Amino acid sequence: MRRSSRELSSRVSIHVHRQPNRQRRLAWWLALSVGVGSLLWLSGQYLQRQHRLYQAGDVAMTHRMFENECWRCHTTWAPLERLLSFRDAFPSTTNEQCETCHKVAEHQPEQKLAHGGIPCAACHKEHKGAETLARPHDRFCVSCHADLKEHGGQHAFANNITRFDVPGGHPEFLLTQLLKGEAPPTQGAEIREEHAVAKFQRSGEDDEPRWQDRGRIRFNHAKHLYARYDHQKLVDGLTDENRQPVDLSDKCESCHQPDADHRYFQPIQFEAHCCKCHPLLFDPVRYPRQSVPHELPEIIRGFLTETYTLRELQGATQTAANPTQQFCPSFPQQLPAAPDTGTDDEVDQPRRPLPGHRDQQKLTQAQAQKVLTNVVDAEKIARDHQHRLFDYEATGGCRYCHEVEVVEPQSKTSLSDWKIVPTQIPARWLPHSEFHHEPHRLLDCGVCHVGVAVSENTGDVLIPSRAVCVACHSSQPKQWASAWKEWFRSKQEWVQEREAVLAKKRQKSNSNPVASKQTQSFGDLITRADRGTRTDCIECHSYHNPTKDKWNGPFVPEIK
Amino acid sequence: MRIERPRMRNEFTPAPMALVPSGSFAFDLYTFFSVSVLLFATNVGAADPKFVGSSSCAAAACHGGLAGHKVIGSEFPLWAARDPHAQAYSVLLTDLSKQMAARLKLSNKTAHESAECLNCHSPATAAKESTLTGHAPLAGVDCEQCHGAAEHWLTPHRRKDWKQLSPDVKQRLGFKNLSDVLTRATLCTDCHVGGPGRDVNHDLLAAGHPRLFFELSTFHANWPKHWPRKTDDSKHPVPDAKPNDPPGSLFEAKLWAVGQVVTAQRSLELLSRRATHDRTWPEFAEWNCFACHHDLESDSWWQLPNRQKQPHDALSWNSWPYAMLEPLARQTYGPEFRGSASPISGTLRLRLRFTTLRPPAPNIAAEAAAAAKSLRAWAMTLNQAEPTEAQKLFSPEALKSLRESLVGNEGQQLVARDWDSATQVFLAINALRYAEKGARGGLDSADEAQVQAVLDSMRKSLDFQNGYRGPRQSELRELKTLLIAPP
Repeated sequence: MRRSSRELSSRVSIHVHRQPNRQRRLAWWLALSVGVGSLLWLSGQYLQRQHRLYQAGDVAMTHRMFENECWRCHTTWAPLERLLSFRDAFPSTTNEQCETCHKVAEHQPEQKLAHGGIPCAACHKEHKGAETLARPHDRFCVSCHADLKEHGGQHAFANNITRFDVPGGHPEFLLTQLLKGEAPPTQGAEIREEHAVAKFQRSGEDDEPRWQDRGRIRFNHAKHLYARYDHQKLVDGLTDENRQPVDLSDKCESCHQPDADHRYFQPIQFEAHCCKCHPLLFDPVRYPRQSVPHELPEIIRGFLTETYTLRELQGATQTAANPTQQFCPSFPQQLPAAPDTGTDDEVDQPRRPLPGHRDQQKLTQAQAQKVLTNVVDAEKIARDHQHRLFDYEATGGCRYCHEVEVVEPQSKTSLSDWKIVPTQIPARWLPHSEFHHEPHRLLDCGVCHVGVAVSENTGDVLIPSRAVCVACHSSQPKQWASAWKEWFRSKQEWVQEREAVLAKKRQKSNSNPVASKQTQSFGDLITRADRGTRTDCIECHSYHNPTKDKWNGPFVPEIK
Repeated sequence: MRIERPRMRNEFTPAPMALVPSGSFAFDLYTFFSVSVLLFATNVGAADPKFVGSSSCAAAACHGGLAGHKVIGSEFPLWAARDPHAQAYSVLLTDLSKQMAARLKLSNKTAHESAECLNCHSPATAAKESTLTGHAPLAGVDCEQCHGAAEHWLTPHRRKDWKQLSPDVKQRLGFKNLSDVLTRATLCTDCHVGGPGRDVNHDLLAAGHPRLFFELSTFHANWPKHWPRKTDDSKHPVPDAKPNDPPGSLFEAKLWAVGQVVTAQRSLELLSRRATHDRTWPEFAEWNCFACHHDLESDSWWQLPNRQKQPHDALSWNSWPYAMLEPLARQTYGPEFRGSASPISGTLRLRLRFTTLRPPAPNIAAEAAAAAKSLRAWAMTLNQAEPTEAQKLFSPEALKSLRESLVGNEGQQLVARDWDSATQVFLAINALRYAEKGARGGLDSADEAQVQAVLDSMRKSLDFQNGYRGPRQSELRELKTLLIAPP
């Protein structure tokens, strides 16, 4: 049966548009009611003075002192503009407002203008409640450092840095590269002064030049950390003031004391850390317990001249009530009595005065000559001498630790003819990063500074490599266990080599691999760890980079 | 100068020492015979032994080790570097010595060639050629001047059994027993007081020689030593000490007491000699210096009221060597210490003779010789006191009571006498303090700090201010006040 078009068209009402669409109407009414309802609710909230609704999130703790004074930061209509334009990157406060309080260093003077003008608020997100303002997300850093070249940066280390715990995502520390003998990226260019904590030099006359600690001082970690046990009884080690062996192998803190922030360590001070065992004695016969001050050669000469002149004029046998403590507060008040060898007697007794003429306060020519001879002799001892004080460890003398240079004296009697080479001990290693020792306090020092117990040379660099950091600072520590083990093996070879040398020297087996054992157990631990700790850029690096000269001072590296 | 090794007239052959263990009877027997042979062979005592020179001692393996921590083995360098005796010869080459030689019109015109000076300043240089085998003249008062000329003892001294020999045998070989305080005191006073050919008389003082005021204990304390100090102490232990007591020593006490007596004895001997032989009697050096040498200011010490009342006291004997005899005698002999039985009675009588300018020389010579003899006997008694006697004389309590009497009335009387006596009081208080400390085994007495304070004040008062000016009356008053009100 065929249907005609009329029949077909008659099925649809030509008044369809006049008939109401229930669905649409429902939607429309719904929308209207929600809108009106919302407005009514908002109005109701407003009328009930509930203002929280209109506000952004909580401000960071540090800014809460502003209370309701929003204008402290928001001086323009920028928040509204930002709201209306739906542009998240648009800052709702200006840099000038931040800089009212926060004077910060530039990140990188060569940043392109577009990046150089990055508003503070772009990285430091406010109104995020407890989230730390000072911990911007990695994406802000990586936005440039993922491809530095494209962003016009001049790379010093690597062009592409994406993530710390990803292979190829972060370069090895330059220091480690130098020590490994790998060509540093800056080869040919001058090494920047902040990296000059290590120098390419010889240790001794016959050694090959290598990268090593630039410090110009003799210090033997192995000697100070040595301890030998026999059936769990300490039989050999350093000697304390009671002439008993003492084990300092796990007491790094006896010298390396944390600074006020517990971030790094205070510089080593002779008076606090060294003089107790190494007093600078100068005259074991006349002044067996008197030391010279730990000062410049000119001051030492002045002290000696005064001491011997007073001795000639007044017969003064000592210069202070407690001579050694005068310049060394840590020196023990009471030393044990010397073993009676019958020969270790002082030659001079305290002088007994003879009354008589006192008007000759000038030295005679013979006395002056004697003073000068005494001063020169004592100075030589203070510079070179090594001896034991009452059988107590007391190896002293400037030359024992310092490099001493002979110079032309300016005057025969007043100025000394030698000087101490500046120690140049680096105050900070890895100066492009910030490290915090305090959170790492549960680890033994030797876990990261492997080999410290066998290091005899100041030139040995004991700073850990990236492999040590990434063993924990990784989302998947297991992945890094092999890298850590490889690093540790390379260190172990050096450690074993050194141990063999030391054992030969000590004529005994070195039974103090405490640090190595702990490091080993640390290795076992990380191979089983499923989760690591934070890897943010901000963990180690700061965007607003302060001047680095302040740590190690200006330094012109010498590459020979 | 060629320095020869000492050579015996009959070379003495050492025995195979390795075969004779030391300490055994065989060793003693061997030592006895070898020493007998030695003494016989060297004909010891026939003539003065010869000086061999200090270079014989100064070998690096003997006493010439590097001066440093150890004293034993480094004696020579220590002596050379610190001991003023090492400079005794070289002071004769100074301008002052040249001037003195000119003023004195010395026999050889120069000080360093004249026996008058060399007898003390370098006895070996002054010695006759026949008594020298080798000697470096620059050495001054060197090893052999104290230890004895080494002609006979040098070879046995190098041997292992040297230490087994008794002091008497060593002495016969010429090696002086310096552990003995009396020997030591006598030796020092040879020059520091004087004797035949070693007379620091008024001529010498006027020419510029410093006055000899010798106090053995103080000089000994200030002397840079080349031996361990404790060996002195250990050779004079406190007798009958209890096992738990700290090891006390009577050395300091003996040194002071014997030193005082020997100094007085040698001074008397010198006086006797001066009165007998000198062409210039009276010898002014026998009088108190300040009797004549005092300034004319009104409060000069010499113009004290009590002196004006006693004109005979205007001249007085040089009291330096004798000032301490009375307190010491009182301590030993009790209240009768001035009596005729006392060894100091002769000395006290002599003192009165020196209130006139011309005491008769023959009488003085005889009396001084007799007084010296009795003092010598006393010194020997003090030196070799029996344990009980020594305990009585030198116990800490006895020493303390002596010191306290010096800080009290007795000291006041002495201080009132003259500067020399006052200074001797000062030195004695200090010496007795150390002696007491030694006898107590190194422990200070309870009033140590107060004694020190008194001594400091006394020293200031006794110091000459400047230039030619004696002590003042006001200073004396201050001293007396100090002693009247002891701590």
